[in-house]
Amino acid sequence: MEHERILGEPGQRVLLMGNEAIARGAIESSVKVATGYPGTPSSEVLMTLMPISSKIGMYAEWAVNEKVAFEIGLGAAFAGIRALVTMKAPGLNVASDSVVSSAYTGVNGGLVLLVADDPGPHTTQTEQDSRWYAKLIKIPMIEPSSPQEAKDYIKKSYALSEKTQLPVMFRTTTRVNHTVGDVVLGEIEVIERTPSFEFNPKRYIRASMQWNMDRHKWLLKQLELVKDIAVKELGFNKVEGDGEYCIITSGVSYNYVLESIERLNVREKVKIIKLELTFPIPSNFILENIRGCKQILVVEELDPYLEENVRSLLQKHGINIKVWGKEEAGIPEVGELNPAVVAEALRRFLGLSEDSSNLMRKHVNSKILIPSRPPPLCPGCPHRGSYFSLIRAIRRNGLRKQDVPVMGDIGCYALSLEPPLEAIWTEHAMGASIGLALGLKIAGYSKPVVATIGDSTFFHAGLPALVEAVNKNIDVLVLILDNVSVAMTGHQSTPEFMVTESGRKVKPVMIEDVVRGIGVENVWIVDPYDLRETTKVLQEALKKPGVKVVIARRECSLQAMRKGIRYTPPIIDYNKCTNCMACIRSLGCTALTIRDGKVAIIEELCNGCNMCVQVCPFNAIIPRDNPLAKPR
Amino acid sequence: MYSIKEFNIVIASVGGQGGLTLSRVIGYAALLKGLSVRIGETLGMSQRGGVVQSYVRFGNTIKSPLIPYGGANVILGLEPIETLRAARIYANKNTLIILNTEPIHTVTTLVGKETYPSINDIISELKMYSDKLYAFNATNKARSKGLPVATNIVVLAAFATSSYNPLDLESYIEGIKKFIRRRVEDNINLFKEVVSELKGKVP
Ligand SMILES: Cc1ncc(C[n+]2csc(CCOP(=O)(O)OP(=O)(O)O)c2C)c(N)n1
Ligand code: SF4
Repeated sequence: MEHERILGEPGQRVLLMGNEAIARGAIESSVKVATGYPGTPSSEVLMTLMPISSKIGMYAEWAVNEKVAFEIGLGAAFAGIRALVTMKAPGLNVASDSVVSSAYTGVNGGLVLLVADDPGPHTTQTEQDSRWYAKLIKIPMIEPSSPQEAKDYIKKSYALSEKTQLPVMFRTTTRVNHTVGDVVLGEIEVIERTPSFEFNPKRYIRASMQWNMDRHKWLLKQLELVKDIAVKELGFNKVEGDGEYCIITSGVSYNYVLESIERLNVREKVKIIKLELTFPIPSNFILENIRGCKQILVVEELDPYLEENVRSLLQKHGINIKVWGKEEAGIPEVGELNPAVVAEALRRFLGLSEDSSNLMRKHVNSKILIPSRPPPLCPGCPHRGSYFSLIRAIRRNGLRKQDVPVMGDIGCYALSLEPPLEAIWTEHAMGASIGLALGLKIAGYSKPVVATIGDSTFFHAGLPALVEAVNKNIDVLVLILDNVSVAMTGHQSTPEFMVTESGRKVKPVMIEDVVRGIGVENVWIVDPYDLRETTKVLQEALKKPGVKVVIARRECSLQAMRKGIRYTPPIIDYNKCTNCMACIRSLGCTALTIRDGKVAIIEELCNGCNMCVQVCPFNAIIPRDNPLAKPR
Repeated sequence: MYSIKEFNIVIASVGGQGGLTLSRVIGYAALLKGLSVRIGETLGMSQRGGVVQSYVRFGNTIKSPLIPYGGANVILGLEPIETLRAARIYANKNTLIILNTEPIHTVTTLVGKETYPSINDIISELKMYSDKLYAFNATNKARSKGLPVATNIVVLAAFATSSYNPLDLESYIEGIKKFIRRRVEDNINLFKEVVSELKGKVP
């Protein structure tokens, strides 16, 4: 099903998510190497490419982190092959060291770096506006506004990359990546190239002061070329209307501008200048098109990036047109934009009266307080067993929960912050749990400190910190939550897999081997469904000095259920159940509910993990199947 | 051939109820009619059990994936408090609201930190927004037909019988074939059965 949509005939009109459209764009551009690291909202690009990659002769695989991914893409591009690298915004922070140098070396084959920002932020640690990176790194940046543009502009970005020999940053936001829309498919280009690599130290070695300055000069020259090629040859940027009120916008905000103009019925008054090349700023294009503008409104999400560029351009050319930016128009820097906010900004800009935009509706006075619905761990989630056991082990060792900092990390297990577990104390950046725990101990914190980290996060950036811990012999307990999946971002493969989503057979790299290999002596592997054993091991580990690693291994229950692995749900013996609610209060499993005042199990949600069986003080939950007998 | 300026549907659900799939089914039905389609969504961080709002828009003038406040033609509510949460933002006095009355508790209502409001109170508030309301237990209906996870299809069927529905049944069935992964025939039969049962009942 997936295949027919993505590999459809040119001219066909199909429903594609922005990320699927980007994947199709890569196929149409004859990309041969596609890699990245999972991260919402960017993951579906590779998830779409992987299953069909062998069929179309493409290498499409996840890399261990974004930096490695970028280096793989860059290496392929050095060899003259077209490559795509995908990541979410924080991924660019991880990859940035290599990306910065890549502007100096440049590429031979086209290289597109997809960076997906997340205003809102729906699923990201910060609202980082990655557009500044393009300016810092000095590589061209292209921004699409819809699934159709996402596909079409990928194709044009490869042309731009090869014509200018620069990597192109393709910057999207959640509302482009995750919007589904109708897309007309294009021709699939066939490019066959033999990989080659020239010996050229001045270009590829960044160790000489003179060579580096030479490449910097080259880079600035290329960026001038970019403006011409992108705007004149490739037709990036658009102008619509010829009113005196000019609106400069880009990306998804363009859609809100268009719809607001319709609603306010002000088509004649305005001119829209839609920027698609947003670095380097297409100065001539802007200067030509603001001729005749009375005032300028800049509509953009997050930081005043375009606004600052436009203001400095006008200043430089001595042009005196009033610019309405974030402050003047009341466009927030925090959170994502929506049609109502943009319509309101436009209304102010055009000096229209309040009621002509009737989009905000008044709240009815209500007596109902809608309960919050904090995102829970899934029924049967192994992380529930790990954190439940950890907290119990801390208490059983005579310590108070509030004395033992449990450093969290990024992944599904961070949902343990919600009641009833309320387990983690921090969630900072990928892999940071271990380094932060070390800092606390090195600073002299006297009680035990625990770092909890997922399997994928451990491989991504946790490993160097563990090397540090071993080398400095710090007292720290590292609990690695191995659910054999990159679960939070949609169940991608980890280095422990034997076969990846593309069907490629790979060599599993096991966490226990890595951990022992770097010199950790105290290593345990437990099944987090076994609450008693897991608690016992954690109690022991908490007492030992030095570096301890406990690997809690049990497959993510959602991933397992999708493969058809589930156990028979237990049943409640209402003769024994006292309705004490201990099961619900201690585990907070969403397959447990209250029906007619009594605890009940929602059969269609339960995976039969039997953790509730183990916490019921009255043995009122009767198991019917035994998951412990069949580890993963 | 088919002209609609703008039609906006909000689907309010809890992760795991099939709200996203439902948005694809409806979007595909609109695509078959040659309409321009946009589907957007707002998801929590969890895969199962968090708040999920999907926005399906089709018509000749739509561009953005988001629906303006108060701009829903239809709210398909797969869960009561989620329907209320969505209605407070997107309903207007003409919005058709279809409400599945089967509640899904939240962790906070289960552990007693917050209380789940009564269905009657929820319905009264929804009626303050719009009297075009149809409330029924879609989950029970799905369970009774042996497809407990097909609440989404039952709600779609209810909408399909409404005078608000701008698309035809056949297109929805095509959408089901395209986007429902398991027990496709059973889902189609369920859809048809509920359509005939509810004919004339939904505003
Ligand atoms: C630098 C960076 N890259 C990627 C992500 C996206 N991301 C969020 S959680 C996660 C990994 C989750 O995998 P794992 O550690 O195995 O935990 P699980 O979700 O499986 O419990 C990733 C990659 C991120 N937040 N930051
Ligand atoms: S997706 Fe897997 S790891 Fe994430 S909460 Fe659900 S069961 Fe746990």
